[in-house]
Amino acid sequence: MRKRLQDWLTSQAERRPDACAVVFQDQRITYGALEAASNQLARALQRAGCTRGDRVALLVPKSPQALIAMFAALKADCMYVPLDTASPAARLTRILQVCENRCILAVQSSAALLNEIIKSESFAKGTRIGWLDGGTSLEGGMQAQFSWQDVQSFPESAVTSVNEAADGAHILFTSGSTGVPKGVVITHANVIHFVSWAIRYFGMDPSDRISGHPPLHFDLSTFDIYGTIATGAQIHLLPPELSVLPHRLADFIRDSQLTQWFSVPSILHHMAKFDSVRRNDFPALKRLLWCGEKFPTPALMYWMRRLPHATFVNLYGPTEATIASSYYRVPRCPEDDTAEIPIGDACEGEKLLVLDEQLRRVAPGEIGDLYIGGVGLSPGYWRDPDKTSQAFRPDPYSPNPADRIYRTGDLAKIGSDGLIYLVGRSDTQIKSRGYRIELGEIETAVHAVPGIQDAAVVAVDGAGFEGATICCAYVPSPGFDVPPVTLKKHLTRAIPHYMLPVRWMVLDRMPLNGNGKTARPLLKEWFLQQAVPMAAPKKSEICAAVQSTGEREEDVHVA
Amino acid sequence: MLHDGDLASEIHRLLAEKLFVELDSPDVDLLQAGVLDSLALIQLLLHLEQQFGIKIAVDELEIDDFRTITSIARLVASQKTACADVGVRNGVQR
Repeated sequence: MRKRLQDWLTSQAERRPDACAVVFQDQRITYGALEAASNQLARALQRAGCTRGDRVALLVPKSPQALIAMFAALKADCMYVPLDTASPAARLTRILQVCENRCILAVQSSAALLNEIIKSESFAKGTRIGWLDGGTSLEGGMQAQFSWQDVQSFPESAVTSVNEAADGAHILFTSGSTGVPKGVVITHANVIHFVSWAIRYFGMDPSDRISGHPPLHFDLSTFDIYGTIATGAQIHLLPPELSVLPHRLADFIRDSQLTQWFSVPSILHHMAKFDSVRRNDFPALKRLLWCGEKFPTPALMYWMRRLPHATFVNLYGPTEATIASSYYRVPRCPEDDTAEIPIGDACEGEKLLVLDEQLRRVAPGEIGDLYIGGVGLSPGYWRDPDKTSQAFRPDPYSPNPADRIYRTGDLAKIGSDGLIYLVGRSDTQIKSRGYRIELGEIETAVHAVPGIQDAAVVAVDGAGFEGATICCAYVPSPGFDVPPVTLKKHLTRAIPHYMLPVRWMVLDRMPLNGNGKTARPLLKEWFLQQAVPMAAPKKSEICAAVQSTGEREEDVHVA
Repeated sequence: MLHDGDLASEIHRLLAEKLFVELDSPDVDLLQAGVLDSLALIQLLLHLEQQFGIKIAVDELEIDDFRTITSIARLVASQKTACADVGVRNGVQR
């Protein structure tokens, strides 16, 4: 039988039950404890009626409990769906509706959100609720199927699972251009292929202390978790609020003696801006990896100069191709801060193609659409054959008719060095703080607010600071007064905070182009002009940080 | 002189006018509510420095300093006092 993700945990727990697997605040969980607790919870899920292929939603913030729940769902032959507990209930309700979960696992801190979801008309009443702690009362007379106390009455011994490597392991939801999030199904085999390659390539071993920075609904976290468990290392989960303060984040890396850091670049850029890293800091850190968006070269140079002992690797890949599909190890610190950093070469078993509209390979130096094929490709979007067939096509360069390629939407070129470089997007998807955001999803949410006649959402380049800046221009309906603060408040109930526009413009009518469509380039222009530099009373550390990497000060200001 | 209550309402207004954030209470947890991330924090700190004429040392900040409007008001009040003290000392030296 081919390996499944949970088999990694079981074999580590057999060999080194007392080794520490997970560290979070003052909690330390051993491999033995993780194995035993996930066996108990798997049995509780089975008792609640979960069978092979069922979905188990995790309404649980990043914590050891969340990791126990992931392994329990896999052992019960299910797929888990990690939900963003900072997202509004309306968006989560839509996701839950699409998934038709058998069970939702929650904790007291997510109980208010859960109760809001339960109150929704579209909530499936047959869904079972399980608490990963003592729990609390539920709306509408609903009774939880079990609490953690009940879970602990189940045997800790190994659970016999029947799932296979080709089964779905989890569904990750990403922003959808029509306003409905898309669920990307990821199989055990998808994750195992990438993680196995990464362990070999990076030389990961049980002495590694691995960062757990991204939230669990973000596919980067998959590598942190399974890379740790497969090697018998330790994962150090970072409390989300730590990301706000760069120097506290540096303290965490130092104090935890992390050997591997993996995150989106925006947080590394944030730390560089505040000069939070000392020379030869983090002596234990062996490798620093990033993925999700471009790491501005000046910020990369800052890091490489301070950490000459570490290896720096740019990973690239959309959720649909599982964690990452290509890698580029930066051989030495760039000397020129305008140097372009490539996304590099395909990881083992992956395939990257730069093609034209007729799916012909473009010549080196020419720009084309970037496609990905190979072992990391998701089977497709959950219960959405149309979107799946649009994005995943037969691979015209493979003799095997079952082989597919995924159109990433990224534009790329092959450099004279044979490496692949990203040059932009072919659609309106943007990256902001590493989050992949469809502007259409925000626009749909704005249009749904009462008193809005017309709206357009555009992104202006924030010169690398935290990715693009989301800007919203709108026209209130006649007789309505909708100031930005009111509109923003409405939007917080529909979309997650990282999708909220930061600049606003109230218009009498939308500017149109010659075809009668919204003139988006003109709107971008207006937003760029609208940013008025603010004169600080005196040169402060914050102003200095903002200006330190050559950015214009207005990039961090709201209008 | 501003009282803490006045300071809190000024910060409440600053959040609404500059960051377009309207809060129901001065004790809403800004981090849990997702109002403050790394980008919003920088915006907030810059506006606080400008509006109150203070200087904030980022590496001395703790997460609890800006968890709620009430705690931000406390931070601003202490920074105002610190700035005023420096002013007095400088005056004496001259």
